[in-house]
Amino acid sequence: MKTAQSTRYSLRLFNAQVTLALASAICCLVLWHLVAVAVHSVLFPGPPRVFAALSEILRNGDLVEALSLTLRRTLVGYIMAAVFGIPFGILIGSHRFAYRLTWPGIDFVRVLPIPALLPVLILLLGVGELMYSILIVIGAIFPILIHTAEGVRATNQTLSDVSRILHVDRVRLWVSVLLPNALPEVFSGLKISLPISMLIALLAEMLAGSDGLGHLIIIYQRSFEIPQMYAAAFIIALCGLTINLAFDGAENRLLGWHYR
Amino acid sequence: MKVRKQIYFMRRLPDSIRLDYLPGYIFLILLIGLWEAASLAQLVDTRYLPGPGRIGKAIVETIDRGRFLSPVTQTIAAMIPGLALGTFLGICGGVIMGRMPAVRTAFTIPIEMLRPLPSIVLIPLALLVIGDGWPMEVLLIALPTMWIVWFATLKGVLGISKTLIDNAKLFHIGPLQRTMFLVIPAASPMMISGIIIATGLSLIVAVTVEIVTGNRGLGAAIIKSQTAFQIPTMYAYVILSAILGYVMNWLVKSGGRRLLRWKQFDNRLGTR
Repeated sequence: MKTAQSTRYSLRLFNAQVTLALASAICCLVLWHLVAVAVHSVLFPGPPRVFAALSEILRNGDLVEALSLTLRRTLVGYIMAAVFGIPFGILIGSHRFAYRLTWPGIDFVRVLPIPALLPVLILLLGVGELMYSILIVIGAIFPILIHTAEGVRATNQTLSDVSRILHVDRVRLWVSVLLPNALPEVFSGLKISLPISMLIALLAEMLAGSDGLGHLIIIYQRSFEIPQMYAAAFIIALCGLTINLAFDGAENRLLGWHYR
Repeated sequence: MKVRKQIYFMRRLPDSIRLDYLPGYIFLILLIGLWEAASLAQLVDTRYLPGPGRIGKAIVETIDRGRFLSPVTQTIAAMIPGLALGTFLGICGGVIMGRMPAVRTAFTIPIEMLRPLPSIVLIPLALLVIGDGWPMEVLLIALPTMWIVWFATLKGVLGISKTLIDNAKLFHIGPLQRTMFLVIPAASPMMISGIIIATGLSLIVAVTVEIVTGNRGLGAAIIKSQTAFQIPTMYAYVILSAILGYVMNWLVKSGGRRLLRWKQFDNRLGTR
């Protein structure tokens, strides 16, 4: 696990490299502008128009409203997935029979393409918050569940042997040995699931919704407001980036003991 | 040698087809039986949630008339080139960024900005710029595949022991050969796990594109049967798309294992 830390790729930049990184970012912006000027197409606006559109949709409140809806849906579904996924994963990881009982079903459902389920859920539940939540849970629960189960299952044999020799009771064994040991795996499951949750929220809003960021992008496309569409995509990318960085930070803080 | 062959044969079956899981199969059959009983007893609205019997009949009908063939082949015809293109670009990008620190530093900010953008969000843009069609679907599948394989490869390349590279340099092995015979094989386990993850995502992207455009593939078949209110047929296509996902996942996984025969495969749940 030590190599995981040293090879982890992050945005952390070092003094000498900062200049290069920033210079290249500015170069990319300039390049984008030049290409946009050269292509001169409505479909490929340059940075000035995109940023103007961005400030416009930020000011008139469309974006903030849609973004807060999408983020709320993402978080509700994601938290539900974690609340169901972690205990279930612990159960599967610690009881061989529970694993054998449920794995064939899980293995089939987890490869099911989520958008294919959307028409089914709309039929059964109608378009509403419940549908969003259930769709996100189905998409996001499996990474959490599988990683948790794996983390619990792969507990260091020496640790559990030592605990048995020391007559550590069951509760204590779980609280201070098995669960902390499974935590890094649980965390990586949670990390994989969050972008998936957001992806599914956006996807459902695009395909079926009447509000939210996914629907906003479709509206911009239909009304041919191309710079606004780019601006909304930029905001989505920014959200994804923030989520990634926040997770890396939280992981370093909470699980630093594990990697050291 | 014989033992290894035997194990290899067993590994060629999908992960969840094993005698170990007998309780799981019985449990699934029980669940399906329960569902059938509930729909026969009209406990659920069978117009919206037909029983497994009716869905099974619909699956048999679609297969029997050969109607399932064209949606399934259309989806596969977009998925495989998309995955191949994305994998190729991802491996190139990951190796270049992994072996050239200057490139890595220079492109970090733009790439980190572009990477979290879900390919789904680009569907409206792609519809305007490229226009609906097979190339658009392939490109939209290739994009997330590329990022996943790119960063998996990068992680693999950065994890290569410096001693190995130095040794290769000491033996005057040129940069091209070093890349082909040292860097890429050493990073291949990471690449392959990236490709496995990307396969699942590529089916999601493919079906989403097909639902939005409604012209080709399984997504369109699902939406068409929903709007025509042929509900059992819709469920049949949903199940067919799950089967496609299962088969693709298994093919990529066993293909990857074949390539990685030289390496002990890790003993994870579901990859065993």
